[in-house]
Amino acid sequence: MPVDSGWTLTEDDRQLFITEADEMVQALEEGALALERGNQSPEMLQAMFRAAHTLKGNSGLVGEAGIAEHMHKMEAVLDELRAGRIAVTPALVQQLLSGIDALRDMLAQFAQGQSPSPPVQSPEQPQAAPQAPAPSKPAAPVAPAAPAASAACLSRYLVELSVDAACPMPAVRVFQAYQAISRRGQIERQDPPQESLAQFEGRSATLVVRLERPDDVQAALSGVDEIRVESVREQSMAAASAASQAQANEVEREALAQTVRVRVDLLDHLMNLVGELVLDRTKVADLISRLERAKDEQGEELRQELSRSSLHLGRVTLDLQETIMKARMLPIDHLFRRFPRLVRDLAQRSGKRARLEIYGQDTELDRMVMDELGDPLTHILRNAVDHGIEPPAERLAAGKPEEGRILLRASTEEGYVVVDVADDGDGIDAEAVKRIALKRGVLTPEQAERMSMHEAEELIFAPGFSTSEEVTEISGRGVGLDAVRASLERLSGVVDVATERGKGTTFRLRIPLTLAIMRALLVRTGTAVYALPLGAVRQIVRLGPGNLRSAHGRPLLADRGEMIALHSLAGLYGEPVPDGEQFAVVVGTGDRQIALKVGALLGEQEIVLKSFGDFLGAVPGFTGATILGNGELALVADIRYFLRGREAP
Amino acid sequence: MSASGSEVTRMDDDGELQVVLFEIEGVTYGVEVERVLEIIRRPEVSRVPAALDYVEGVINLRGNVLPVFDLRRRFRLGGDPARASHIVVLRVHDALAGVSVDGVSQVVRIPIGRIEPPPPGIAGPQLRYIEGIAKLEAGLCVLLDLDRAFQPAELALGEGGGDRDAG
Repeated sequence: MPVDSGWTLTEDDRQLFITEADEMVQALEEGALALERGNQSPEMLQAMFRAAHTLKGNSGLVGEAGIAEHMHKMEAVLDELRAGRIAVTPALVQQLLSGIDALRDMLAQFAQGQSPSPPVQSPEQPQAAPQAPAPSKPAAPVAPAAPAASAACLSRYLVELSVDAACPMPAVRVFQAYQAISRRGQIERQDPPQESLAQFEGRSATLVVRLERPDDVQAALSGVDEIRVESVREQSMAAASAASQAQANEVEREALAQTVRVRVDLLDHLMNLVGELVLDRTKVADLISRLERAKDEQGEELRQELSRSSLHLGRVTLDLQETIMKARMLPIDHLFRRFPRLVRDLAQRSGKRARLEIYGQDTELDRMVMDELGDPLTHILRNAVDHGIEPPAERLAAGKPEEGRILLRASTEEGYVVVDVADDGDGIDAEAVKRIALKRGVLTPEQAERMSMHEAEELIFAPGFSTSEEVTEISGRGVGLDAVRASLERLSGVVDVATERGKGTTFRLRIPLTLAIMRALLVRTGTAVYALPLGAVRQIVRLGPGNLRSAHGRPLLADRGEMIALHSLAGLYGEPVPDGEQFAVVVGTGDRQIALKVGALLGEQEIVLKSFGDFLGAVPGFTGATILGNGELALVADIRYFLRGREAP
Repeated sequence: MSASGSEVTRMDDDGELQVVLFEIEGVTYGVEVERVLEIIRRPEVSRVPAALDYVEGVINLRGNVLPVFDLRRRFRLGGDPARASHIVVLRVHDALAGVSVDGVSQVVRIPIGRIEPPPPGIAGPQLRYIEGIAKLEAGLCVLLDLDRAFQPAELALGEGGGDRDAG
């Protein structure tokens, strides 16, 4: 494709290239892994070829000859594969995967602003870029041939257009292009949308359009100047295999991803504004309840008006809040997609066979939360391959399929995202766990004696515990599941484990959808108001002779046969303990809990978490502060602070 | 000492410094007027347990959490911050912070020539937070070096150690 002489690479172009390249790399890797599992559907091979081809073209456009050259080689191999001229062998898959790794490295260099050097190809080393076998036939035409089965009906195509950099009025050209294409086919989606074209100043447009033949696009646009067809990709209708369906989703998501480019700092600012609105709403509600108590006849009209506007404010705020939340959300697939390769590599290195099945990848999660979730999930998956899945021989002996199965599943549950990682391995041997815990000094013999099965299983989260007898490359050096639990707690989430000997182990992670706004229980102790995150609140009890106990001079709360350590909330913060604290709030995560004595319960409320700012930094015991409806400040308690070093009694 | 005195560089054309004066425990302090954003009536201050000792707490300044510093503790003056009537909202290190004061008197212009380095008689921790002493008609005024007196959490921690050595 000709490049304008005046064309220079802007930061936006670079970003776009990187984002798209990531998608292509992902598509290639998914394809390579599918090939390894014996899936060689023509759709998938076609998709891989297209990904390589597109990336080759894009690399050329941004002036990355090294990447373009690399992609050219990969494309040639895929072309041979697609045409059935070479067979899929483990060596070939490995070659592809190595080529993808090398590509990743080059892209990473590009992203850092360096011009990537092509992979070293010394005679001693295997060539990083896959090579097509010798007598290479001329490459097949790029445009996908429409499958015979769907030739009769209109196929759906993803069309990417670009406007010449020199074009003074891109909006007009894009409008003309839309008009021209709509005469040939049916436009299902367009970005930029036609309504907002007036403000459009970009250089690219994307359409999803139903057409008879892909060539129709080019034909339709023959009369429109300054518009180029960058690509026409078919979106398979009769997606028979899961792989091609995933590919279709990928392409579709790619189209959508271009429509939701919002700067994170802008979103953060919007978040702050929404936070303010939420406060206003609470304030108005507070005002109303005070007015109502006033019982002033003259105020009746005023009250009604206030009530109406309060209702309205409430609706608007809620709407705005949900919209902004959505904008901060990403499908969890952004995180999950890197795991199939991880599991494959881990299994191969440990001489096992394992397959990762992913469900619920469309589940959305705050991107900040998602960033934090990567490491703990990686760790749990490593754990599943390393400790969960048995070696093939052992599995066969146990009557299981040779290939282990690991399930990664995301779902939502009222304000929370639940992620399950389930393996069909050997399960956790509670007795072995106890033995090791004793050896590592995590546990005393007395504790081990009266410990339940589940409590023993939970020991794997204890600091300094790792069930593998020796540190392996796979499970990482000395970092145990305690790190996973700590990460989850940072997110105000929890991780639990369920296991059955011989059947497998499931780790369940429960994470709040977002961190910025949360529900909290407000309590007063002395003159201060504290907010306790509701996710950690287990129950609230009124203290009395019926449930107050003590052991060795330390107060305990008796609750349905359970004894929970009882502390004054003010006391834990080093404040003077006020008299007459009548309530206890039991808070906890996992198997650790503590009862906090407080003076009064002020109710449950949605709060906006605000940091203390640079001056105070991280204050131990608090995650921040929040402003209440009456303008008062409440400090938001960090539950981990209370639970640190306090195990279940 | 003379080094901190020479830090008084921002002045208007006449070689004067515009200073907001306020009082704490009978002592008049001054800060450059550009540093002062506003002066508000002192609302209830929420204590923050376990924060740095000179942090009195936080207040709600129109939806923002504003830390409030206690000069009494910073300067070991004794006295009760709850007596303070106002909070001066200041810009320190490009962030906002409040200082509880007993009263705000006025804004004055002080000719640079009237500002002197702290006299050798002053000792103790407050010396390093003082930019200079100005002689006014009504008496002496202590010009504060806010950036030194109040530092972001991580810096202040290191400084706390220095305090202990000095004291």
